[in-house]
Amino acid sequence: MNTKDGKNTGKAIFGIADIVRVFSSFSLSPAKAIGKQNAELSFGSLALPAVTYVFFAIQLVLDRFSFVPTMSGIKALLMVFISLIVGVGMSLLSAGLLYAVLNLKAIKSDFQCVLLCSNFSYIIPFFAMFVGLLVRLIFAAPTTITFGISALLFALIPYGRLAKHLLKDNILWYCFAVAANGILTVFAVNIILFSVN
Amino acid sequence: MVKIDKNSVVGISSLIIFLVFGIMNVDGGVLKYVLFGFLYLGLAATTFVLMTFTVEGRGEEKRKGKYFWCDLAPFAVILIIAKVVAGWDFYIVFYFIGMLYTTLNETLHRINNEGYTFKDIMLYQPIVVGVGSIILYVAFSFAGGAPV
Repeated sequence: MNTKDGKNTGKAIFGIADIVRVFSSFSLSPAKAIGKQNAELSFGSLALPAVTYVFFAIQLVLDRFSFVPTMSGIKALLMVFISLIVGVGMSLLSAGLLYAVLNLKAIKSDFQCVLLCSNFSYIIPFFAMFVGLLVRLIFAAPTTITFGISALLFALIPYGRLAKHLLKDNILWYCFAVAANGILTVFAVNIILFSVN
Repeated sequence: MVKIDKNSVVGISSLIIFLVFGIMNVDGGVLKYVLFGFLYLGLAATTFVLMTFTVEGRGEEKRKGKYFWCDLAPFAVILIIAKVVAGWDFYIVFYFIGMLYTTLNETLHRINNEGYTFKDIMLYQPIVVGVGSIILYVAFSFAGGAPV
């Protein structure tokens, strides 16, 4: 950013270093995003889990093309489309679950804020899934479990830390939130796995 | 009367669940089952004792309670649901994520609440115990014939 006399202050808004710092900081502690919520940012962040699930579906599709003779382009597209919907749905369900628990415990919260923080828990899974996809494309190795499912379950770690922070270390309820979100993830993966045969 | 700590019970129960899933997937004769039974049991016992000791600390640094074991419990529950209801074959990833969560929580607690830097606690015992436990669990599972 330049000042009036043309000197560079070195503070660029959304410079690459800023983006890396923000993302690395939020990736393990999404609660740091509290207070930054607005409608556009919260609902725009839905893209993160959606793309993560799409990457998962692409890995699955590539594996199926290798091992299932009846796999076709239409089925592949359908699976990717379903994963997009599942990703968005999972994101809303995870945030909704945490919001419901917070309301149940009479802790004041804002859904958009919970949604934004919850979506930030997909930062590391997003990159892990991208690396998995690259490994799949370059080495033709099956990566659905090693990268795919591991990455989706990894999202439970920042989510758990978020739940722990918002629920003020209430052990029973944050364990419940993590377990319920994990079970939802298992069924979301099952929907993608068995949606197209 | 012996006072039972509920957090210890949660930790031991979670480790036993992972142990049972490990043993269930051992592929081979009775001798192999017995051998891997002892290996997994040793791993669970060592992890419990070392993790409790290193996280709780001693002397002036001693913490109250073993709350960190509750972090592992949801992953044991998810594993049961994934195996029994969803019919998933693999189980290693649940231990991997669960133990990583427990270790990360403890590490980040030290950094955020106690003023340590990551460099200070890079080789801190919970990290060593957690990562070591994950490596051994994965190694035992592959040696036992895990379906991954």
